[in-house]
Amino acid sequence: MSNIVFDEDLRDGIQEISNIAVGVAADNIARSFSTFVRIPVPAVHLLESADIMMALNAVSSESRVTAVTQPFYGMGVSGEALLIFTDASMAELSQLMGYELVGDDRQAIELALEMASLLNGSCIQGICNQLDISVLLKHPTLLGQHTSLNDIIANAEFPWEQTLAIELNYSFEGYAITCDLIILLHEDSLPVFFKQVSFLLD
Amino acid sequence: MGTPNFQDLHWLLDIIQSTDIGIVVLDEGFNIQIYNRFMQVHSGIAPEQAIGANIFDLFPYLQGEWFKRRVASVFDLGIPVHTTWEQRDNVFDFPLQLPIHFEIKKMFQNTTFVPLRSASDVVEKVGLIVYDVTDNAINSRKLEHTKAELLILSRTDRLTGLYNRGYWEERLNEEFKRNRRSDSDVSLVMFDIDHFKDINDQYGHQVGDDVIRLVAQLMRDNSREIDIYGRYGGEEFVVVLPETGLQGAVIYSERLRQKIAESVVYNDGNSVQFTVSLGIAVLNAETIDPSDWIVNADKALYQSKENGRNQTHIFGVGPV
Repeated sequence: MSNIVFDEDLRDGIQEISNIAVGVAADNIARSFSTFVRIPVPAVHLLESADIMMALNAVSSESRVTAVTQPFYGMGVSGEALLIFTDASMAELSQLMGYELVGDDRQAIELALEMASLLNGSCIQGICNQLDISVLLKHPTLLGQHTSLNDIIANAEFPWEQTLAIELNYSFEGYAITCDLIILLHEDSLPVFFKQVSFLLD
Repeated sequence: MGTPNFQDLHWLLDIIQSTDIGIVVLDEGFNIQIYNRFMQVHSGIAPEQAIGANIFDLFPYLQGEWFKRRVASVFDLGIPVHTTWEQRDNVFDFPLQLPIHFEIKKMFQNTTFVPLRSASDVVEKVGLIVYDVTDNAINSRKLEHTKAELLILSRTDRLTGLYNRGYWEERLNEEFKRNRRSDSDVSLVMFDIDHFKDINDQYGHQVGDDVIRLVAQLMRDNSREIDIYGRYGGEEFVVVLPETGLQGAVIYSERLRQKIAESVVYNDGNSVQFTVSLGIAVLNAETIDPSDWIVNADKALYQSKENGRNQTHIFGVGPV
């Protein structure tokens, strides 16, 4: 591990950086869909692999969700963004995004992937820009539909020990949409990531 | 990085031409600025036709909200936008004409729309990067198909095509729980082919199998869509009749019993006839759990056997 310790200062720093990125993302969404986005306060956790299921369940214990992941690679940093919508949100999501509601699986996938592209892109790029890390986003992929997070991710024996999780709960004014974005960093990325954050803080 | 010299630029252009990825650059008016070889060969449109042309003239099907809003997002927000084959098969509808892999008729694509900025950091153009992910899409669809087939196989009895015992019991448990929440009637009928061992011994297992298959067929013909029927064991069959009380279960059982008694399996000039014994258990408040329900139906079935076979008994009531 790095010689940089994950302490309160570092956590606050990451939270602040995420805040700024989220602000930009929210602004992007607001401009795209002409709705006001409530800017979430990012929660930053260093998670042990044993605790990740607990953490994800705390984010969404809904039994029917649509989940999308999107890998990203920066210089010395890599991870995945996980975006989760409850099935109950889908009808309003299509409204928000200006689509006529068809209500089939195909449309739900379309909505989730488009939203992922916009939200993840803005957030991850926003965070990495501030840290002077040039980043490349891969295509988002559908992780599961109409299923619980538990069913999607349970049984996975993660080979890493810890991960940094930045958790954002989005809501949109006038819409009942539950949407959670969790940015997970690979543990090998933590030294570079922490170093860049400390640079910025100093 | 300094300004690349002419030779470097030449190499870069060569790579853009040679790569197995589609590269298109559009200006704000949707006019094509760059159109690499991947795009040329798959669309059949030569660069001199493409460069400077409006993309909607070349690909009229892009003239919709879907494509325009992605390009607009890139110009407005200055972030890359991704689309994948999972949401839409492709952006550019390229046919694939392959002699061996003939079953693949079109290209599936993931596409990234990227902002291209001027020196003053204004988004001037949009770049489209088109990945051919046909293999991915085909494999993933095959996998889905295989999973669906496996699911059916894992639930089905090979000989009869009826539900196997394991899956049937799952469904029985569900019906049991559903009944606890509602007050509609539900009945269970269990039956067994009489003297099945004798049929096997006398005519051989082939005929025994034919008998089992015919009974399964008659059961299927005699049942409604909502009935949950399965093969419970060797010559033992079960059916859950939702929305059915004692009277309905008796009608079902007697009709099935008569149909089976009237049927014949022909083999080597022999005509083989057979009968079944049935037991009915209507689910009620005294039934503790699903296995208790099965035990009740089994007890009624046993009474039919004891009483001389080819008949129906009702648990807690007696013979029909």
